[in-house]
Amino acid sequence: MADATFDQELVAALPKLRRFAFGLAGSIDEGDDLVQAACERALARRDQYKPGTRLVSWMYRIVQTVWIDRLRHRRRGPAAMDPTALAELPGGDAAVEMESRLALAEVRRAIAGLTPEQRTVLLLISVEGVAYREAAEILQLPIGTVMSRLARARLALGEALEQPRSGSEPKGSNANVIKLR
Amino acid sequence: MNDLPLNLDQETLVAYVDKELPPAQAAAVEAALMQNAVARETVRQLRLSGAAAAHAFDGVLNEPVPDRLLLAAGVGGVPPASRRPRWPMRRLLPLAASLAALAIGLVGGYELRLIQADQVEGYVPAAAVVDPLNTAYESTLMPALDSGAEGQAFAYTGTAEDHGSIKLGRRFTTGFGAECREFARHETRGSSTQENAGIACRGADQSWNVMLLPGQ
Repeated sequence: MADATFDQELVAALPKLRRFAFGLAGSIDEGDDLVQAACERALARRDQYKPGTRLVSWMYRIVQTVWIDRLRHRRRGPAAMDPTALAELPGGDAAVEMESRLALAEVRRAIAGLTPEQRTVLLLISVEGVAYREAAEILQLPIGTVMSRLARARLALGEALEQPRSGSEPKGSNANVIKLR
Repeated sequence: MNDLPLNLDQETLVAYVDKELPPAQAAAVEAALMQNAVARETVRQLRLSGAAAAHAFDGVLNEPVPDRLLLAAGVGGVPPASRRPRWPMRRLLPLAASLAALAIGLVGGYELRLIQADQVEGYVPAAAVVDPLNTAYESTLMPALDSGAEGQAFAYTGTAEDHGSIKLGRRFTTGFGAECREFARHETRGSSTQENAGIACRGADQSWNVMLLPGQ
């Protein structure tokens, strides 16, 4: 790939990479840190990129690798992630109704509760729309592993979304009212 | 085709929901689902979670990509048309990216594609106008950038009627380590007054590369 095309595709991929990293890290700011580090790594290793393959897929892999490195470095598991951070919303969009904001925040919180492995597969396939085969290549996993992680992630998420909200909600007769449909 | 041996396990069902199965297998799953309420419930839940996740993080797509990421991607920031700067300091940022890229290009010695100054609509090169007021402006700006504090103002005068002031904004370091400063310039020439925002980033030789934005 010519350098100019590489650069253009990298910039064009930034919004998707931010979305992916937001899902991994749990907040937009931390996600942006991942994307920034991934871009710097990608530019330093651009000779390793295989022309003819999708640049965004190569970048998903780098973002995911940077994230895993940081998780290991912190020696903290998924429990260390603050699920309330996932309620973070890009501010100021008056067009988004409060109700749907709350629902989306609830979904993000539930996704934060998944294991890092399940979350990665779910984000790649169900959020980023990557095909199973491609996700397997990005994560360098057998496709069967990708499918079983995805199925477990989706069922766990489905279950979480149908549970009454826990935590800060008052326990009482109206606890079941807050339910995502 | 319905007599294919079918295993309605979770993996098969999620692949069915996501339309990842070959058509014949998808049809077989569909037929088998008619007979299997448990599997139908699994499919319902897989659909629900798939739909819920799909747009959960989309809010970030509507935000402008921060300049630090554009810089990290190795490109001077090109402001998307949707950006509507609300005040002078804000509108600096995309140009900050390109100017910082210039500074980095000098430091790193590798080739970077920059936004050429003349490609930026309404761009006013800082040193294009040579007159007493401009000379005073430049000789005031450089030391101010070197040692002025954030929020500090510096006045300068050209002739009796022409005068201006510079107010320093925040300092920041780009993703590649270039040191930059924002500033605002208020200038009066005779009866006309103009306000401009500016940005300066240090080059490899420690001199300031200054870019002044079109006035308001």
